[in-house]
Parts: sequence; C-alpha cells; structure tokens
Amino acid sequence: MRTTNVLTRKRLTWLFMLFALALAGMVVRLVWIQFVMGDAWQKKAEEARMRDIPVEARRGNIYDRNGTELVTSVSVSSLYAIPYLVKEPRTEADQLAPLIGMDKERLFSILSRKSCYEWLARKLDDGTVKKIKALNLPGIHFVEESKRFYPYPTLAPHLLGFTGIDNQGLMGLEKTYDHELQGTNGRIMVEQDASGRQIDDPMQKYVPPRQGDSLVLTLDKTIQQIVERELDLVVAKYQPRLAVIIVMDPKTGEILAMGSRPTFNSNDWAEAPRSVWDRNPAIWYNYEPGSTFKIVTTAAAIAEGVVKPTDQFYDPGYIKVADRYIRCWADGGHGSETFEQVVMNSCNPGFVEVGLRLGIPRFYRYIQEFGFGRPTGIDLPGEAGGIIIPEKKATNLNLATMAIGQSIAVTPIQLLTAASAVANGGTLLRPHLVKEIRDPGGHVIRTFAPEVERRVLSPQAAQEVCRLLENVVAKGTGRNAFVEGYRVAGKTGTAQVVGAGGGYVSGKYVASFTGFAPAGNPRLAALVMVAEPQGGNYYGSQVAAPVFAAVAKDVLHYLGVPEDPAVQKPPAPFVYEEPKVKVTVPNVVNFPLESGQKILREAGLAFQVVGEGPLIYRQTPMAGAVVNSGSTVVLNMQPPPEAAGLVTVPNLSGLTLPEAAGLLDGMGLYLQSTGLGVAASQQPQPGTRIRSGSAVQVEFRPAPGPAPPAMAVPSRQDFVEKP
Amino acid sequence: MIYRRLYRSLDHTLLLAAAAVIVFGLIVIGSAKVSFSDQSFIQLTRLGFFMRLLHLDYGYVGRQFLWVVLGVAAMAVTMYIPYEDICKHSRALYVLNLIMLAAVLFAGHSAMGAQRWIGFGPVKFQPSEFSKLLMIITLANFLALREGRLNRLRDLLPAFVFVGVPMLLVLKQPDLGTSMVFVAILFGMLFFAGARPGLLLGLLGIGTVLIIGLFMVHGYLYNTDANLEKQLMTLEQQKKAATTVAARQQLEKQYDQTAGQYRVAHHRLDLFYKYTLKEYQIKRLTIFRDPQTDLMGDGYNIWQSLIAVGSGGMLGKGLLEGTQSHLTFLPERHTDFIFSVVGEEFGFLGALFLLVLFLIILYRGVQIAASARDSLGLLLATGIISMFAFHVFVNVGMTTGIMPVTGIPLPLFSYGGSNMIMNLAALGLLMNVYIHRKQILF
Repeated sequence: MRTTNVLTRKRLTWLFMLFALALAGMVVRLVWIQFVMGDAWQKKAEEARMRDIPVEARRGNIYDRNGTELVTSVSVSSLYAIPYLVKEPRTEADQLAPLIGMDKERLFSILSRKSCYEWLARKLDDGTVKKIKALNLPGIHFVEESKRFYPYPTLAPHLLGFTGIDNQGLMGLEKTYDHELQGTNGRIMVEQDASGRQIDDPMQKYVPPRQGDSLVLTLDKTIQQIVERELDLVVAKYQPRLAVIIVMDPKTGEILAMGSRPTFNSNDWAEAPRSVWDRNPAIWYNYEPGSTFKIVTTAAAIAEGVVKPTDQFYDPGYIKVADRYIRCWADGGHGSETFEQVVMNSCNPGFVEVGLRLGIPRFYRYIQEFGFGRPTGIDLPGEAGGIIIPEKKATNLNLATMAIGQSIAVTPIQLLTAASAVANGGTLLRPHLVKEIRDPGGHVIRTFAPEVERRVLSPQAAQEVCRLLENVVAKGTGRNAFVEGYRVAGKTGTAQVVGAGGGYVSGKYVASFTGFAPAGNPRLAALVMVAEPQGGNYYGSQVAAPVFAAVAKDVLHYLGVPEDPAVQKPPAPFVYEEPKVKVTVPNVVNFPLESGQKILREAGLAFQVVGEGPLIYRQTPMAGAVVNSGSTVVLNMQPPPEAAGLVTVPNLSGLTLPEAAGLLDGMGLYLQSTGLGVAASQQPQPGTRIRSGSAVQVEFRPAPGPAPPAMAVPSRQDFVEKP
Repeated sequence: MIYRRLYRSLDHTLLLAAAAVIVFGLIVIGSAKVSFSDQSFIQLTRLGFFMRLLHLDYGYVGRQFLWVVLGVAAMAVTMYIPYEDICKHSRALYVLNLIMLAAVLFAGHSAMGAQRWIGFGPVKFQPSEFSKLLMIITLANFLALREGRLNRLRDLLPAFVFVGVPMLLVLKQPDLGTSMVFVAILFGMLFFAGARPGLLLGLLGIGTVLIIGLFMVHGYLYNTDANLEKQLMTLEQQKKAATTVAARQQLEKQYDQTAGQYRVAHHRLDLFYKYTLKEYQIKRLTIFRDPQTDLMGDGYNIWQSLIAVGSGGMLGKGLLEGTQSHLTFLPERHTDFIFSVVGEEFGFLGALFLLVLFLIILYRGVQIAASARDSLGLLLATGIISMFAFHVFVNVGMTTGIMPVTGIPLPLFSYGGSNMIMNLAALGLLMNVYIHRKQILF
C-alpha cells in the first residue's frame, strides 16, 4: 500500500458524499416535476392521449309570447380532418379542394400538419356532404353542428338579429341574450395512442354540452305580421328611405311588434348590404319628431298647470320668437282658439307660447323625465339616445322650436315609451322584449316583470292629456287614425327642415303618428314613422295616420278588445292640401338614377321611372318647366338606339370615386381621376357622345361634409310645422 | 461446507439491494411492454397488485430473467477467480476489448443509426457494455503499476492513451454515452490511484470549457447558416415578385452574393459536423434544455418522459395503469426510459425507493473499496462504483430532463442482456474484492 489508508478513506468519503449529493439532486428534481409541476403534467398526459372532439351546445330557441317558434337551430354537417390518419395528403387535397372551395395547396398544407384536429369547412349543404362522403377519404370526418334557422325569415329580422359561423350572436336579441342562448359546449374525449389510433376499449369521456336557454319574447307573431304587412304596403306606396312601426303594451312596456324597412332575410342576412342589417332604425334612428313631440309639450304644460284646456290663444299664422318668425302650417293661422283646439289643430304658435310659458328649466326637466336624451334601456344592442341641445346652451328660440318638436332628435322607441307613459296614467316604463328565459327543459328560470322607471305625470294630468289627444283623432288633424268603435288618442307629425327664406322645400320629411287605443284603458301604443316618403304626399296625417289606423284596427280586433258603441266617427277624413308652391323642374338628364332621384326629392318633386338603363335619358317635364311641388317627373331610362360604339357621357357630379368608376365601367368608359372626395367637374361634359373605351377625366373635391341622416341642428333656419 | 463459508463471506446487504433492484426491474419491464391492444387491459384495473403481476408481458420478463441467470453465472465466475489472477491477463483482455470494438465497426448490426451489436449465430451482444468492465479491469492493473507516480500531467498521459484508444472506437460507433462512461471510469480511478485532485479537476474544467466552446462554435455556425438560408428564401421570393427589370437584376446580384456566402457558411458547418459531432448528436445533447422547441422530433422522448414522471404524483397511477407507457407514447420505455415508467406507475415513493436501493449499492461499494486489501482491489472497486453511479445519475437525469439524452441504461434495471450480464459480472468483481478484503487484525 503506497497510498496511505487515511487518504484513501478520505477520498472515498468524498466520493460517497458526491453520490449522496447527486442522488439528493435527483430527488429534488423528482419533487419538482411530480409535486410542484405535477398537476400540469397530469393534464398534459390526459391531453396527450385524449382526442378532443367538441360537441356544440344547441343554441336556445326564441319563441313569441304565445309560444310560436321564431328562431330555432337545425343540424348541419361540418368537415374536419385528422391529419394523422390522412395517408396521402396530396391526392386527398386534390379531390377535396374543389368540393369545399379551398385552394389545393392550402388544403394540402393543412392535411400535412402534425396535429389531430383541423377544421376544413363549416356548415356544408347536404349535396356537398353526400359527394364528400362518397369519396370515402381516410382521416376526413364530419361533425354535426347546428345552424340558426328562422322559420319566418322576414319577420322582425332586426329585432331577432342573427348569428355568425360559430353561432355567436351578432345582432339583435341574439346578441343581447347571447350568453343565455349559447349554453356551454361539451366535449367527447376519446383515448388514443401515440399514433392517433383509437383504442379498442377506450376510455371515453363525454362532457355533455349544456344546451342554451330559450327566450320567450313579449313579441306577438300575429301583431308582428300585421306590422310587416303594413310596412310592405308603405314601401309599395311611398318608397320611403326608412319606415318604422313599433307596437307596445303601454301598461307593461312590453314590445308587441317592431319592424322597419329596408329589411333583410334573417336566413341570408349576409346577402343584404351592411347598412341594412347592422342597425335597427326603431332604436337607432335619431330624427326630429315634429308635432308628435307636442304630446310631451302638452303633458308638461298640463302637469305644471301653465295652461288649462280652456285657455284662449290667438294664432295670426306666425309667432315671433327672438328675431325669428315661426309660421303655422295653416296659412293665415287658426285665429282665436282654446288650448284644446290648439292641440287638435296642432297649432304651432299656440305650442310655442305654451313652451315659452313653461320656460327652459321646466321644459327640460320634463324632456329628461320622459327619458329623452338617453337610451331607454331596451334589451337590444346599438340603441341611440337622441340628441338634445344642452340645457345651458339652449335659447328661447330653441325652446320655442323644441316645443313643436324641432331642433331635438329622438328615437322612435323613446317617443313611443314617452307616449305610453301618458297612456298608462303617467308611469314611464322601460320597454323590453323578453318575457321569460326558459332552460332547455322548458322550465322558466327567469321572468321579466314590467320595470318602472319613474312616475312622470300625475294620473289626473295624464288623463287630461289623453282627453286632449283623443280629440286630435276624434276632431283634429289625427282623424285619419280613427278606428271605428274605439277611442283612439294620438298625434300626427310632419317634421321638415326648411331653408332660410321660407321658400325652399328641402324634400326631407318625416311623417309620423304616435298614439294609443283605447284611450282610458289602452291595450296598445304604436308609433308609425315614415322617413322621406316619395310621391309628393308626406304629411303625418296623410301618410302615417292611416297606417296607424290599419295596425290598430287589426291588433285591437286580434286582441279581442270590445268595441265601444258610443264612439262617434269623425265627420270626414282630414285632408290637407298644401298651398301650391311653384317649383322649377331641375335637370336630371344624363344623371344616374340615384343622383337624379336625390335632386328631384330635394326640389319637392315625385318621380316615376320607365325603362332600364344606366342613365336618365329623358325627363318629362323638361328642365326649367315650372310646376306645382309634388308633381311627378317621368324619368326614361331606356337608352336611345346608339350609333355603334358611341355612348353618352353621364353626369357624375356628387358621386364618390368608386361610384363613378363603377358607373363608367358599366358603360365601357374609363375613369381618370384627380383629387379626392366627390366628383366636382368632368371632361367631356355630360351628354357628350363619345366612343366606348374612351376615358373621362373627373376632378374630385372634398364633399361639404356628409349630411347626417338624423337632425341638423339649425342655426339660421325657420321652421314650418305641418300637421 | 465450502458454500457455507463462501456464503458467509459475501456482502449480504449489497446482494439484497441488487436483487431487489433486479426484481423491481423485472416487474416494471413486464408492465412497460404491455401495450394497449391487450383486451383485458380494462379488466386489469380492477385487479389487486399481485393479481396484476400475472398479467405482465412475460415474454420480456422471461428473457430478462434469462439474462439475470446468465449474469449470476458470470458473477460467480468473476467472484470465484481471485481478482489478482484476472488482472494478470490484463494485456490479453485489453486486446480482446479492442478486437471486440473493432468487430462492431466492421461486422456490427446497426440500430437507430448506430452500430452497437455483433452477433454469434442467434446471439447478439453489445460489446461496448462488456468493454466498460474490461476497461475497469485493465485500467486497474495499468494504474496499480503506476501508483504514486501520477502527480504531473505528463504522468497521466499514458493513462489517457490507454483509455483513449477503445474510447475512440466506441465513439466511432457512434456511442457517445458509453464513451462518457469511460471518462467517468478514468477519472474515478485516477482519483483513487493517487492523482492530484487539483490536476483532475483542472482537466475536467478544461474539458467542460472545451465542450461549451464547441457548442458555442456550433451555435454560431448554425445560426449564420440558418440566417443566410432565410435571406436566400426571402430574396428568391422578392425576385419572383420583382416588377421592373432593373429591380430584378439588382435582386439577382444580391441573391448571387448571398448564395456565395451561404455556400461558404454551409461548407463550414458541414466540416464542423464531419470532424466533431454529427448534427443529430448536437441536437440530442442540447434539446433537454428546451424540449418544447421540437416536440415532434428530438424533444419528443424527453417531453413524453416528463409527462410520464410528472403525472405519477406521490403514489403513481398503479402497476399497468401508466397511460404514457401503455399507450405507447413513451419511447424506449423498457430500456433507456424505464425510470419514467417507475415514476408514472409507482410515483414519487417508487422512484425514491429505487434511488435508495441504488444508494445502498453505492454505499456498500464504497465500503468495499475502503476495505480493499491492495490498491488493485481499491481501483477495481472504485472503477465499478464510478461506472455504476455514472449510469444511474445520467439515466435518471435524462428521464427527468436535467441531462442530455444519451443511450445509457439504468444498471440492473433496464431491459437488455449485455448490460445485465456485465453489471452482474461487475458486482461479482466487487464481491471478489470484498471476499479478499484485508482482515482487520489487532
């Protein structure tokens, strides 16, 4: 032994210490991965061997108040791949790609992925599904998914809304109650081995989906159908830019029907232009309510006691506020009249005076009490709140115009909610659309009781206002809204913005009627709003009131409301002939139809279209002729027989670049553009005949700012209020 | 009578611990090879532990048992012949070792990209396993003759050459793991042959620095290569998308330049792989630091192993219930990654139990080394425990993700004949040293 024993022992001790230390290190490592990270690894072990197949929860149905199914879900097949099992991605991709409309290379790359679940196509139609099944490709599978189905696709599409590809609510009630309708997706987890093969007797874990809850709406399918029918008639008759009808139960705030035009098909919503489906005019459209707002003015005045129905007024045909004249709709005025008659006649100077008596603070208090200026809180997405001139900035002129419903913007739902408060005895309710939420088993899990916002009028005041409004229909401007056998109360309105000088007819009217029936014990309150009706007739009393009457009559009968034999039929329908205004017919020849219509509408003329073609080729009467406002101009779209290869240069003024380019392209012409904005000048001039294939130079300039569809708060304008 | 004396002179603790490891190993091998397709798998989960033992894969267990029997026979031989006598033939054994390793290179069977086996008729064996034991015996003899003359670096050089030649042959197979075992044996034995610890540590330090340097050089070369390749692809696309002739020419010029640089860089990287480690070796050695970067490739083994061990928890999922192994997620589950099965099915306590058994074996080994009659015995014992310890740590470290993946089996536990026989023979030799220990006489 040359090494000393002691040294060897010492070194052996060192060595053993090293071993012990290394082993301790291993143990620490084990503790770390088995305890500290244990849960995470456990989960990974499960994920590794579980192939996860999602099971979509069935989205809840939507029923009307009587249990009619309005929205349901149907099964459709979606295609997915398990790339592990795809043996020949190239050939499979070639076969499959054309069927599902996917790029071959893209499909190939998906099928070559090292994953165990890839979506290929969602919600395929039956024919495609059959074809794909016939191919019998390995690793390609279908899964049942559900798709929204609307049995009545044109019934209240805005209100019901629609869903996206993953059945997520995008609009309307589908969006508001998305959480309730959606439910929770389930999963099937299938145990598999490392190569994706299913195990013979696998551990299958089925996590059942929680099906979505169903909604029972306050909506009544029959009433909604009445509303849709009337809207269709309105469209056929007046081609308005927008039309809205809302029917509400004034005692509960329940919406019975709500429809609007333009509309779309719920099952094919994506086919309609975005501007049609992305907002519901009934809750979004801010407009100047005009005379219908006088309901609020009357209510405030009666409640505050600033006026009694018997108070005498004198209307000389105008009223001067600050340095402006506000004219009455009736030439020469109504002369001497009581307040009762002021309401009946919808007399502007009378209401202005009442407004001035109220004063800004009191009037504003009532505006706010009635819920204007902020959303009503209806259970729909995208509600607007109206526009009110801030109280601090309001002048007496503003007060005067607001008293007759101008220079204030409201939404249809706001106005109807306010009118309902008058109808039901003075309580402002929150409008709502859902009565109950039911679980998948049909048990009611939540009910929505009428929600009282606040009391805005005393019962006596409300009763008094009702009586005045009843007179409007019985004897006044609202006679066309009369329904035989029922006491109808309501107010017409024709809002119209008139340019400086009083002679200019802007062509933009909103005809409306807001009312309820039977007065005293109202079963329905309804609002009819027709924005920019065509054809010369644009008065609330003429356009909207008859629609209200038609809706109310059918709904009252449908609801089984007994007729009151004591009710007197008003003597004669209310007809108002506007004093003839002479208008010079503008030139619309060589304009595209859209632009031409706009020009005519602004001039206060109606039009009728004949023939088909890109441009207006002829107009009758010709430009420069002086006619009564409201007359019809015939527009001939049929292009005259052309010498081969020659086309007429259209008038592009006012069009945006894509519009102009599209129009020219359709005629075989090219656009050479300079500048940005809307077309301001062009070369060659409109009407010139040029060879097809030539270029048209157009200079674009910034537009003077898009005109808001809602309210233009006027600065230097006078108002003329029509009944 | 003679057996009785022999029996009494054995180290019973060591033998019991080794036997326990082997039995445990047989059970785990039997469990690991049961795969999902067995119809009775679900029924198994209702059985008790001992009933489950009847459902092991006895094909593998039987074969492993055969190796154990052969190993015990080899053990008897290495125990019975006094170690001095074995070491006398050191020179012949060294030559045998070299011949065996050379034979692998020329006549070996390859598996998994490496030639490790040679066959005699139906029997295949892995010379690199036996090479370890032969290395210990011959090196012990070699160092015993030079004991006390190992204080300078110059003195160590012959030992390095002595180990280096067979090690290079192993490296050529290529079997990086085994050649690392050689290094462990060499340094362990040098330490007990009286080499200055400072010198050994210094060498190890230099070795570590060199290896790190190697990986850094690789990192640099690899990144340069990859970057240029990416640039080339971008340029290629730009070239296709170019609209004007001038732009295309400009891009083409740029492309040619980059292509030139890329060729140079790629050549350098190729040279690096040719003369040092292969690309896959480097990747395997580094992947354990972040297996998630290549879960479907080289990181797969470690990742699945970590899932297996990590999901075991305190008591494990139970025999035959390890989903990672029975659903074939875990690769090499009866050989190199068998410790993962222990961790999954027997949990922390099972793994701890196994590690404690190994520690007992190592403890007894150290005791035997301390009681060795002469330096030859001491060197044999320390060589054997160095090898044993290195195997245990590297294997467990590999399955728990703190050591690179090198194909090193768990001694006395992993499935494999050569390894089992060699380890039992090594234990026999250790016992040999114990039997001929110095008698403490007062």
